[in-house]
Amino acid sequence: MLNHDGKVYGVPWVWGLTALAINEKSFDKPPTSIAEMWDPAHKGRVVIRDDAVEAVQFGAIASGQNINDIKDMDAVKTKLTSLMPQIKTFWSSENDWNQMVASNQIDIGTYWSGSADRAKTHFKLPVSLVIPQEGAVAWLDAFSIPAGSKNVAGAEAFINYMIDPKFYVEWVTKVGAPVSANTKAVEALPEDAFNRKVMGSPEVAKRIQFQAPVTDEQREKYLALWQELKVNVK
Amino acid sequence: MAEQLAIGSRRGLKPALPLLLPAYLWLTVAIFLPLSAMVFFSFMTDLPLAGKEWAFTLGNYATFFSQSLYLTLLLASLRLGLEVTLWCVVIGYPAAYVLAKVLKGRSREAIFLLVILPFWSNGLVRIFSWAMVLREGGILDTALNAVLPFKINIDLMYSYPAVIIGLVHSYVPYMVLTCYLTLQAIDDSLIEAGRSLGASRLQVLKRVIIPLSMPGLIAGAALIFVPVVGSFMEPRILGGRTGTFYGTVIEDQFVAVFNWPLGAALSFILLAVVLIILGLAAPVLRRAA
Amino acid sequence: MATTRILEWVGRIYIVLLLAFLYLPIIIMALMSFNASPFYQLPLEWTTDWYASLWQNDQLIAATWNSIEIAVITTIISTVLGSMASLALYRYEFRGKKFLQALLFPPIAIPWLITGTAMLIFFFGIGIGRGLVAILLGHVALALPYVIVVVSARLQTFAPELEEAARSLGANQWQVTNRVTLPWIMPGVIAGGLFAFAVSFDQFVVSYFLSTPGQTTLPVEIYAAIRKGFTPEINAVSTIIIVVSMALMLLTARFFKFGGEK
Repeated sequence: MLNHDGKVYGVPWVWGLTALAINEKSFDKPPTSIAEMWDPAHKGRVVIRDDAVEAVQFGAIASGQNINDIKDMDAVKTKLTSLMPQIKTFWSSENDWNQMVASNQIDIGTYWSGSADRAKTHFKLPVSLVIPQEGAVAWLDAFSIPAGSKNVAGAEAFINYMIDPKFYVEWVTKVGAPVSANTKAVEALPEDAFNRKVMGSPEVAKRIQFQAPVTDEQREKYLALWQELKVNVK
Repeated sequence: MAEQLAIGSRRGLKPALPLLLPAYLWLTVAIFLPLSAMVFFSFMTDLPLAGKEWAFTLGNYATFFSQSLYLTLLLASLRLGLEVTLWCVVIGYPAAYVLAKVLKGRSREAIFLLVILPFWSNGLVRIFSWAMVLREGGILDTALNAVLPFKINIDLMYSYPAVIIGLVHSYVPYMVLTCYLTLQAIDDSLIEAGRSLGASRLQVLKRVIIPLSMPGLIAGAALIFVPVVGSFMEPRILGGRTGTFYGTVIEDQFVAVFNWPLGAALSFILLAVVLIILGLAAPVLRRAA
Repeated sequence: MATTRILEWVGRIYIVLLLAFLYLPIIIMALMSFNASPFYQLPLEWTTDWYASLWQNDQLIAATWNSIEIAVITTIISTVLGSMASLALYRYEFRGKKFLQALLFPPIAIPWLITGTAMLIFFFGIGIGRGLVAILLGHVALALPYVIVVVSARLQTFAPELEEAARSLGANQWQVTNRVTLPWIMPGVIAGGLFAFAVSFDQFVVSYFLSTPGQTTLPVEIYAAIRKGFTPEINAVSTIIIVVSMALMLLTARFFKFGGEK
């Protein structure tokens, strides 16, 4: 993604998943399928993030499609339309999710891998991440230096610091962080760390789909669909 | 009224200028010029920043009319604005009356200040606190079940009523204050005169008090209706899946897809509609008085 | 009259109920600042840790001071300029007056999000950029329409004959304004000032676009905190502000008459 025509345009930094997370109080054993979101038993206790791109890509996974090359938009729409009555609210920040789980208002919903880990290990909330068999959306954050930038050396030093294993380990243990794209940094973590054990497992790697860049037209099309779904929910 | 105007007001812009100029100059620099730039953007295909190609178009305005989605949302937002304004009148006007005519001295001043004080807490924090009250197993639910002999389930969170409650809470002080200012100015002897001439309380209210306090009611209604129609934060947080309104789709255009021209066009349509409604409503209300 | 007494008591009870409605979320907010759970979990577990950690949070404290400073300056400027403009709009008849009055509504009607982005682009274009000066410039402009609308509502109840009478008794323009008109509209001016303070102090969207990392305001910091993970420190700082301003207000109410006694 960051290599184009043989030129390097950026340094990969961290990656993570938009998968599912559950309220452990509501499940005897963790579900394995994305279909759990549609289970009438969870009516009014499902959440999804208020983000058009994420919602549409989630719908693509649920309807068995490639998130970067959605052929059947109607299938996505039908899938999401049937999800709407299940939904309690659309979350927008990590804090929303954690508050709703803390007050036992929700059962299941889409969530970020790093946040789910942080909620469990750092805040001791009954949250666990589920990477459904149908797959999950993976994202990658990167650093780039704009052309014409005045302090290139400073920027490079900053990037080196941010991808350094020492900084990364401290970040993970003190705050909780996504998975580093630097394999050396991940190896510096303890053997059983979430970011090494769960996220690093080959089983997970097979299931996930990395997000390719989304064009402006796609973005607007997704938003139009998402808004239409939200309006007709009443 | 016409006679009063003739005595009180004098003609000419020139003597008014020194008083008007500072305020309007400030508004021009900080609001009107930036907004004019936005009006300009709303006729563009893309932003002229970072060397992107752009051309003039009416397409952004056409989008509003070509999709029923936007009109539906605009009507929903207008209804929301109307309902919130009405609730604020129903709740705020009697309070303003008691404040102006029943309470006296220190207690009146203290309560006058207490009414406006909630504004000084952060809006987001206030809304989060409402979520605590309204949700299932929240404060209202627990309190009512502790008092009532039978079991009821209160879960108002993430619903239309929750949006109304949150907005009325935020805006009712506007109504109390503007009505208080005009009610307090009504001479008590006018009310007494009406009563001694045999008018009932209701007649005095209808013929004397409401007409004389109309400017306050109108100002309060405008200050509430106008921002509520464009609101997006309260519906988003309190409304849950029913919280999509015109304001939230404008916000999406700005922060989610970066289609500023369309976002700007949508908000100028909103502005036009709101101004037309205010323009039509003001004379009707005044005549009703 | 017995009925009058009863009605007066009904009125008093009603005011108490209204205050209860207005203060319910504020009380919850204050209670949660003493709750150990960062996610507002119930039942409440008493702690004062959030106040202790707030004390260490220099960023939040600096932003609070910025907010107070900007709100005070905004209140002073917009109340003075706004009252002047209201007076002019009330006293003089001229062509285009209706237009000037209509112009007050765009700043209220257009969502702050759009005004904020517009200001950001424009201020960059004319070289003001971002920072506390830009925030102040924006806040005063946002507060002005509120002040003008509120003061004008009060002016509508003013009998113009009073000004005329004072003039015919030989008072000059300044004396008329100062001795006759101003005392009458004072409750409106004070209410306008309180509005202006509230608009500025609670203003998030416009400040968000116009602030820089070092020069920011409390609502912007709160928003950032919510993104990163909300802590009840925010409740703690809001509680302190409410308690302090309540004390200040009640104190001022003892020494000044806001009610505009007749």
